[in-house]
Amino acid sequence: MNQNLFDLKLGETATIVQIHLEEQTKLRLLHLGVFEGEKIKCVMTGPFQDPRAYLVKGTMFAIRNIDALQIEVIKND
Amino acid sequence: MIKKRACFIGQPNVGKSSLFNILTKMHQHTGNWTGKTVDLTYGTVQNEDILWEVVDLPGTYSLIGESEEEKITASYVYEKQYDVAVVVLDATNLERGFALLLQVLEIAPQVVVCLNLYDEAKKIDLDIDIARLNEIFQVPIIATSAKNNMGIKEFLEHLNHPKKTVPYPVSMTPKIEKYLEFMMPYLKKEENPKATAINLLYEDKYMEKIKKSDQDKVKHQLSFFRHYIKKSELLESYLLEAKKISLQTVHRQSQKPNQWNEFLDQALTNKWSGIPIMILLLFLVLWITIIFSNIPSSWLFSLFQYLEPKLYALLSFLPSFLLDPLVLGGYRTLYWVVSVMLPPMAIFFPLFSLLEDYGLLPRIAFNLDRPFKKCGSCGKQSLTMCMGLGCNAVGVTGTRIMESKKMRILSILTNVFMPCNGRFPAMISMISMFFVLSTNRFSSIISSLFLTGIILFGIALTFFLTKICNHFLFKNEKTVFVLELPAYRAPKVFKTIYHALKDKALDVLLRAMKVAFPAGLLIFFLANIQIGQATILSWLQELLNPFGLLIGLDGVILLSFLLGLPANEIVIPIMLLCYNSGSALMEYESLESLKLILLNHHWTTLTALNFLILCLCHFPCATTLLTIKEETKSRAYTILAFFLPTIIGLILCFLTTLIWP
Repeated sequence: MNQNLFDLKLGETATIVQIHLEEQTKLRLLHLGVFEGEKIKCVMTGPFQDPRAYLVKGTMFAIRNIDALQIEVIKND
Repeated sequence: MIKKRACFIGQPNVGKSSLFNILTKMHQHTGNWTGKTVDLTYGTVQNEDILWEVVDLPGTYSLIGESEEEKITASYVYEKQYDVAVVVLDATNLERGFALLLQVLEIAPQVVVCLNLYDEAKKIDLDIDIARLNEIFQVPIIATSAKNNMGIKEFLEHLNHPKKTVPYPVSMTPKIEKYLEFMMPYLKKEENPKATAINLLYEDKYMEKIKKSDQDKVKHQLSFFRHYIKKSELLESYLLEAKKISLQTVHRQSQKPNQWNEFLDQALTNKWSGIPIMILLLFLVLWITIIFSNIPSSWLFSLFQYLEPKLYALLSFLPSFLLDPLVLGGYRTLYWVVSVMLPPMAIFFPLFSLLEDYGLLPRIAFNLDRPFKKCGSCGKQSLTMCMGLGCNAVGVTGTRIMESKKMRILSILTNVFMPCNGRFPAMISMISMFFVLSTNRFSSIISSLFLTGIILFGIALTFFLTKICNHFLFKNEKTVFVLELPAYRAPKVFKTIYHALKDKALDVLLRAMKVAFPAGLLIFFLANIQIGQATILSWLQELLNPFGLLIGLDGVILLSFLLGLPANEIVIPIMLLCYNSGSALMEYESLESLKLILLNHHWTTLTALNFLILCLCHFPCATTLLTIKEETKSRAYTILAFFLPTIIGLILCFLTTLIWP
């Protein structure tokens, strides 16, 4: 796995390549419109830097860093 | 007159319930869905010659979900005990909504679609091709906005004349196509064979739709397909189709970010300002509640006291062994609870609802996830705690927003550490009598600060007990946390206040009243029936006294908390009743006179402190316990919820007494 979501710094954008999470979490993310091929941006890091919030197509959501590590992305320039 | 039924389906935060409220106005009630232990909101609308019964289903992202609420909605849709399904979509985020709509179209016989929040979509320059959407989905699609009643008339017209739905041909992955191909021959007689096949992939419920002779064969194959096709794969098919449709019909002209929202998010979640702002908000809400509830509270007392002799006279035909308990016992306790509880609740619930509707609560959950994660729970527990500040029973029901059973139990067991509105007033009087000089000009601010401190201590206890329970009950099982952070949305102030008062405050008040009256009767009998030289009440307080003294309290205080089980509001009045060896509850004229009575019974600052501790940490009230039993369906957890906080409270009181100088 090359880059993952956790590598994104605040304000950086990437494209989702693959989600390597277990079924339940994956379903929850899909419900929010988070799936392969979508652009994702890191928008908030929170008081404890974990969880962090991301933006996908106008939907903002938060996941923990431990889960963000399992989402493979390619950074956009 | 024709009667028909419509159900409202929509994702969370699309304004589905606001739309529902506009349509049904006052004609609403929550009730049980026949055969299921789920409360749904029902309402009625008279629309020309048809009387519609409308059902507000829990918000759901899709019909292929895992959460409790998603399952409820899905099975309601599948069981088809309605004429029309109304799908409410968020016009500012249609793509996600389309995925849900595609699923409903495969099942519901008739569908009407509302593009809600249409005005907001216009504001962010979204161009939605409604004519094209009509062609694609072949159902009526109406642009609505619950905020300014837009499209409501048009919607009602379409509701009376819906068209039969035609499922949209969603292209599935090869695996799923293969499965459908296999199932189709067995579902020839079905109206919606595809939907039934998809449901069978995850549940056995519709197995009866397949001929008995074929069932074994199908079951065998199903176990293979079930293993092979994941839910996420199915959902992805719908989402990809939704994306295709969205590309054809929704165009964003320009993307201008909402600067205020971005600023607010940065401030609320910032490393330095995030947590302090949240504490400040908590303080403000408490302060407003405290300063505005005192006066109406005393008005209510005067009113009820004025009415008491009149009620007494009115019922004077009753023999005195009935009259006295009814009026001096039941009625007095009842009005006591109402006068103490109603004003803070009538202020707190609307304030809280405004913050909730504005979209603030998910940010709190976001900020606090990390510390909760360390204790084995997740940030959403903070939301149930906020609800608990209003009423612990509401907080317990609120745990439904959490996905895993483990996190729900943890939040339920610890919810009582958030002092509810029924406990506020007693705590505030204690603070103002023993810790803050009432002559001080800023006494209300200092009292609120003190109360904020107590709540922060309650939060600390919550973390502590959550961690302990997680360790011993669940062996640190892993938790999942995915939280949506919806955009801020200016609430409709008056509507929000009205519904907060009508749906929440009134509901809680009625529940409290139901238990207050019988509790009043019981207390009256305890205080008036003599055994030997003394009343039962005084025997009981003598019995508890040695233990009470050991932990810096006394028998009366312990007995008051025990008898206050039905409603926390009556703890102080029972205490007064015992101290004065009276026969009925009585109002104190002022805090000074109350303090004098307490001082005469050897109260010190330590006693007051321990009273506050016990007030924060003791068993939940009867209503909350019943709710816990209902939500956990477990007697063991209910018992645990009773004893854990009580034991912690007693230990804390003992410790403060030990170290007190």
